[in-house]
Amino acid sequence: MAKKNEPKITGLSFNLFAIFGLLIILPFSIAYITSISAVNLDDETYNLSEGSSTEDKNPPAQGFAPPNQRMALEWLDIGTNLTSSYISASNGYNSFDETDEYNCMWLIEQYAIDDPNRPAARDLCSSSHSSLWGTTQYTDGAGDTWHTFGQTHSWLSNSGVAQANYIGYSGESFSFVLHNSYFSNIEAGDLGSLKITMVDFTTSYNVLQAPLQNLSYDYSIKFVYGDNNFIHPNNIENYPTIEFKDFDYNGTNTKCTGLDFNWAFNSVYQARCHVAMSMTFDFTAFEILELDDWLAVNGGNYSKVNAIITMDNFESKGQPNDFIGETLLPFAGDQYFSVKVEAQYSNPQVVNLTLKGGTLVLGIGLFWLAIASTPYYDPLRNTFKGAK
Amino acid sequence: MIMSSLVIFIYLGAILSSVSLVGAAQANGAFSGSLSRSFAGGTTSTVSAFYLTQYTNLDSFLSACANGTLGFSGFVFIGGLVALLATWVSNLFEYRKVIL
Repeated sequence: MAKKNEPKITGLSFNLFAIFGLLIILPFSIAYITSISAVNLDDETYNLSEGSSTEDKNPPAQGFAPPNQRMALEWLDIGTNLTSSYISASNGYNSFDETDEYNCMWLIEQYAIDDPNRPAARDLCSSSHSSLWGTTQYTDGAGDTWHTFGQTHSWLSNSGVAQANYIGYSGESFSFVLHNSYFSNIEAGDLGSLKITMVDFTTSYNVLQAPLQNLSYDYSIKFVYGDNNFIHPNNIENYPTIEFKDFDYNGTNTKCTGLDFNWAFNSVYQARCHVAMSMTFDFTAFEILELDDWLAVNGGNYSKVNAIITMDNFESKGQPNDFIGETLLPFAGDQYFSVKVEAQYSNPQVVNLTLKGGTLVLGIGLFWLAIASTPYYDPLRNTFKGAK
Repeated sequence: MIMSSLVIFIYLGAILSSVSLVGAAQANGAFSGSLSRSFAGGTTSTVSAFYLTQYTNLDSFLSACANGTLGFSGFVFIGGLVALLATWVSNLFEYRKVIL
């Protein structure tokens, strides 16, 4: 039984309270206010692949497309430069001068069309480069809108270098630009989450025969604010940018569904698998605020936003040294693949209120704890009529 | 750079907390030897700092406060944290105890 006049809270108790506050209450409070801010996303997902801004484009037969005809997606880095492998694999002629097809192959692997450092001869190759041809918007059997784009080495089957077949490997690091044609479809709010789904619908597999591999890779996104022009990491120094990193994917390289539309035969519903992967940029509450501020400072017009997506450190789990090797990826190859870009919107005003209000309360609490830690003021012990 | 400098606050908080805990425990009869006090203090500091940096988002939160993402509230938070740590350090030097 406690004795009469015994302090209900002692110096030791206050020590423990203060430390408990710093090590437990503070981190959990921060986690709480950031998590309730982050979940402030619309339940509804919006397909940015819809809309006229991403309708089929007709690039010129040769050279660059003008800004209003830029594709929705263009490759910036198609992976490792494998020109020498293709040359040795094809056993073809190889003069490798400026008129040689293999010289063009080398230029395509080395320089993206938006690279300001590209040699002039590269422009003559651009008409046969990946996503510059065959961009098509279509709606699948389930009613979702997609785009087809050329895979990393689609130019192998669409150029004069027909003697070289795709060797099954593209590398471990890739990047592409999502042009503002996608982001100009943002209408209902501010971006809170972005999901890019890539599927190779050109080949489907029975469930038991799917080329299933466990896959991991890292990815990042750099938003670039500017007119829809030539977006390339070497060409954006005068544009405002903001980058979000440290996203990673751990999953498989295939997607199997139950009774699904059979893309291969375009007619019946049955269980099928496709080579597929996705990237989901779930922005944190801080990132949503950063992105909102960045956009507002630069004019607030989503139709001027482009994004450079980088994917690297591809690993195929279970393979020797986790080497990606010839593991099937939806975008690696010499054919087409399909892309769908979806967004969820957030409400930065509510995020602002929750996060900034909570932070202010925590900051005031820290000041109070600092004062209470001095010998001049003991609010807690006074409240409890505590230690003397 | 901002992030790495702000992590110092986390380590400082962990060290001061462990000093306070071990001091309080000593005042109540535990850890009579200096070796055991050092060991307990070192272990508590390490575990606390590891927990705060690896299992919480305190560092990214501090970074967001410092770079202005959270506006005035963020600076109040950092000010409060600095005031708390400064008070504890001052107490330690003046009164040989972290929290009075």
